[in-house]
Amino acid sequence: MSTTAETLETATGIPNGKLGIWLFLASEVMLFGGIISSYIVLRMGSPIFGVPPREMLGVPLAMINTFVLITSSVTMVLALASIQKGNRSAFAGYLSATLLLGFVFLGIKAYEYHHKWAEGITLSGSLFGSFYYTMTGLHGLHVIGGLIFNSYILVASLTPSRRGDSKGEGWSGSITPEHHDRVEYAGLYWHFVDLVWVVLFPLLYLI
Amino acid sequence: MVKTYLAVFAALAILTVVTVTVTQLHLARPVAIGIAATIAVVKVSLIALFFMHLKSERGLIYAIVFIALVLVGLLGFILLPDIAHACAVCFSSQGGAPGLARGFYWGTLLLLALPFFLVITIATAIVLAAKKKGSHV
Repeated sequence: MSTTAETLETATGIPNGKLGIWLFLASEVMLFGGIISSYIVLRMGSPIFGVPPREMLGVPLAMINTFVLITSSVTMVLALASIQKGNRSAFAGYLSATLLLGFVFLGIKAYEYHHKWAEGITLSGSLFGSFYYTMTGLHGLHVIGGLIFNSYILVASLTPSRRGDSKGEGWSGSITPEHHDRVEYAGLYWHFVDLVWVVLFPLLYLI
Repeated sequence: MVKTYLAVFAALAILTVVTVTVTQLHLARPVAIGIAATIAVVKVSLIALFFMHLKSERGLIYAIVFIALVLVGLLGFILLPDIAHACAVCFSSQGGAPGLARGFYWGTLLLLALPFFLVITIATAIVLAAKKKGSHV
C-alpha cells in the first residue's frame, strides 16, 4: 500500500509496524500449519478417525459463516480505502460493519458448538471432535483478538485525543488520514483470520 | 481500487458456492480433495494478494511469507502419513533385509561420534594455536 506522509525511514525500507505484523503472521502460519498438518496426517493415517456424517456437521451454517467472514474482510479493506480518502463517515460505517460481522460469526459459531455438543460431537468424544474444537476454538480466539484490535481502531479514530490534528473534517482521534498505519495493520490481521477460516472450512466440513 | 476489492469479494463468494456445490456431486475422493484444495489455494491467494496488498509489497515481506510457507511445507512433508507410520527401528522384526539392523546401529554410532570428533578437533586446534603463540612471546 502507498506509504503515508509520516512514514519514517527505516533500516529495512518497510515501516517497522508492518514488518512486525508480517513476522507475527508468519509465526501464526506455523501455529495453524502445525495443527492442520497433524489433522491431515491423523485423518489420512489413523484407523480410528471417524468422521461424522455430513448432515451432523451443518455445512449450510458453516457456509453462511464463510460468507460472513469474507464480507467482513471486504468491509475492512473498504474502511482502509475510506480513511485513505479522508471519508470519515464511510470509514466509521465500514469498520463498524466489520465489527458487527465478527460478532455474527462468533454467534453462529456458538450456536454450532451448542448443536454439535448436543449431537455427541464433543471435545474428548472422538479424534474428529478434538480437532474440530481445537482448530475452530483457536480460530475463534483469533476472531476475538481481531475484534479487540478493530474496536481499538474505531475508538482511537473517533474519540478526541491530544494528538488529533483534524483539518476541519472531524478527525479528532489519534488515528487520522495522516496517521492511519494501524488501520492497515488491523486489516492485515483481520484478513489473516479470514484466510485461516477459508482453509479450515473445506478441511473440517467438506472433505 | 474499490472496484478491485468488490471484484475479489465476488470471486471469493462464487468460489465458496462452487466448493460447497462440488461436494454434493459425490465425486471420487481424491478428485474431491483436489478440487477443494485448489479452490482453497486460489481463495487464500486472492485474500493475500489483494486484501492484504501483498501484490504491491516489497522483497522483504515476500521473503517472510516465503519462509513461513517453506517451513509449513516441510512440516507437511515430515508428517506425511507414510513416513509417520514408518518404524525406523523395526527393520529386523518386520523381516527387512539381513544386516540392515546392524547397518542402522553403526550409522547411529557414527552420527553420535561425529560431533565429539568435531569438538575434539577444534579444541585441539585451539590449544595448539595458543601454545604456539605462547612460545613466541
